[in-house]
Amino acid sequence: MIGAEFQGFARTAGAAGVRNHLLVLGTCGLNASGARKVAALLPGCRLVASPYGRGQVGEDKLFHQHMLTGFACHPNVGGVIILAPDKVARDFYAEAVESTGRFCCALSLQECDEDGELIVETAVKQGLQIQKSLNAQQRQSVPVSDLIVAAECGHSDASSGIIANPLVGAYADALTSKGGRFVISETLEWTGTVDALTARCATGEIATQLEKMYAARHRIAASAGIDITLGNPGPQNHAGGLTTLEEKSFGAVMKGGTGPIVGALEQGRSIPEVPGLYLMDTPTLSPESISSMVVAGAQIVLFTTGHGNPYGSALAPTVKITANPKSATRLPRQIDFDASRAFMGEVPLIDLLPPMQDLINEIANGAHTWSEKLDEGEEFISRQFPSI
Amino acid sequence: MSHGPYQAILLNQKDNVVCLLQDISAGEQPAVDGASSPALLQDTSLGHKIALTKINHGAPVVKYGAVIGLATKDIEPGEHVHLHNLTGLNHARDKAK
Repeated sequence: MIGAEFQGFARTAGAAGVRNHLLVLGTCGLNASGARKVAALLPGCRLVASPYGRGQVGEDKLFHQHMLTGFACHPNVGGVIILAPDKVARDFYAEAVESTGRFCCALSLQECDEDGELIVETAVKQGLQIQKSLNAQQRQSVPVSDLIVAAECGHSDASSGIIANPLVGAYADALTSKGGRFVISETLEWTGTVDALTARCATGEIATQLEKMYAARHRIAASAGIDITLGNPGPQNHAGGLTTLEEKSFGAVMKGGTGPIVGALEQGRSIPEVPGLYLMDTPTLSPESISSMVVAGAQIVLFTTGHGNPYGSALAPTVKITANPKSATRLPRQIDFDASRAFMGEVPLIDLLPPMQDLINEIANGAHTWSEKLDEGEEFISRQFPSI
Repeated sequence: MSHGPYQAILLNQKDNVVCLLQDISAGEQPAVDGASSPALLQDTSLGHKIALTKINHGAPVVKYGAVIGLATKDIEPGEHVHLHNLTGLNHARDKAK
């Protein structure tokens, strides 16, 4: 059952977290090595180190700043060590983090006499203090309306479209009916379903926005000479039983459930407080897609897979779900929820919803996913266009 | 692979096809949770669809509660639904322009 509350870390500003991470944030490629060194010396912290940060212009610069600020002020982050190249960049990110009441230590190479070792030593010393403060904070009951769950699929097979994605969709419907929020992405995966999706949009404006984002993403493909509708589904899909593109795409978007769509969001855009299902315009690569939904506020990611996929978010616990019995057996250190009993016809699909909800509740309350136990996890920032 | 009591799945109550959870031979009647399936008209593989009811030429084929295409000929109950009798709506191409 999805309860009215979960045990989270309440924040002064914004939604509660399911984790209380210390984030080491390298805001520029010039800080990347230092950020990695600092992270290695602060056990349990999370690392985001951008390879960019200078020479970016226009929307690309704004998007990069939005993503870094969003990671730093993510609900699952309780404290941040900011490593910047100069005082201006340091102040920019420090102000954003401090305004949310999070613990913050902000350092720049410029103010450390460009001494890479000095900035690392200072950051580690202050990071240990922040970790002490974070460890003293307790979980408390917070409303489920604070919870935002994202869904992604990767390395799919027949079991994904038939079992794993509809199961995650059933969870999406259950969560949103309790006042929670759910988000799916990967615009090109909607190909062939857009009429059905726009019909589910809560307002005409949302439907128009969704159609615009969809057409724009297809134009990017077309400008590279790619027509996503040609030869899709392919021979392997056909052999697996998929006949039409609509069928393949519905199999993917089913992970968002069947409820009304309450928002069509640009990549990485913060998810509003209105409960319900959101669609986000993103590239298809899981790392870019997941980071975009995480930065928008998702505290948990449900990742369905057929053949397996070890990728996880650095900030949001990433729950691996498969309905392929071979993958579930082969990948005991990756699969968090085995839905294969429904694929093998042992139980109706819907019988797996309560145990999956229980697992997600436990993870929200602090239980670790496999990718957390194995200390895997990354966040990536999509480029919008080239630097100067 | 071991198998339980269900040999096919109805993904939405509105659907007029079910999806097979194992290879099933002609003449067999797969057990489905929440529906009663006709006997198969031909051998059909795991992951493939069979018609629950008669689907007339030109009528929508519904899976996930959504229209996944149109029948290109009359489809009998228990018949394999695939490339030979189902085509997509091709709205995708128009919308993307």
